[in-house]
Amino acid sequence: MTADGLEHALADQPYRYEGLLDTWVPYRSYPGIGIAARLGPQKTVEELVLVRSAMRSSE
Amino acid sequence: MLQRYLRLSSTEYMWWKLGYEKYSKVCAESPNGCAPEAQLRAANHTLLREVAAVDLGGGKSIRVGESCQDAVSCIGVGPSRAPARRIRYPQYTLDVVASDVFIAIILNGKGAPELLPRRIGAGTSKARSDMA
Repeated sequence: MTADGLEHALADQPYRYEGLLDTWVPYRSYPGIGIAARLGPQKTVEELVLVRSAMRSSE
Repeated sequence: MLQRYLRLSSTEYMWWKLGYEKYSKVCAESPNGCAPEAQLRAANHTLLREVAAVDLGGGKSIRVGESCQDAVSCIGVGPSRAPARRIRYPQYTLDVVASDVFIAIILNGKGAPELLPRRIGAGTSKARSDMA
């Protein structure tokens, strides 16, 4: 899946970039729906993560 | 307020149409006039429900926040444990990060299960996200 495909599937849900799981790898996080995505260099979705808010490293 | 409702509620609700009628009456007296129904429909962004579970097929599913003990009885113990307790389940093409409960479920391959975010409310429309 590409980043464009992700945006289409999640239809303008608000997101922000943040680290997950105590790493500084930036994930595009959709806090309202509990999903985060790590995008690869070719703008492909490398990982989709279902995550609890307590594991976001910025919180 | 009405415009916000029309922007964020599903256009499939019967209340959306009634809301637009009310909006038309109210804003007809406004100097700015009304936004056309088609424009409001095009700008509609229905919020999605939180996605907390992954359907693994065969009647199996795992959920963020689920206890490891319960989940292991369903999908078994993963074959590898990283120091950060990231556990890989190659048969499901996913990893989980766990303490005593599942804290994160990471879908990271082409064979990973699909996610089906659902819109908030009674509407049945789905947005689909799958790894490809």
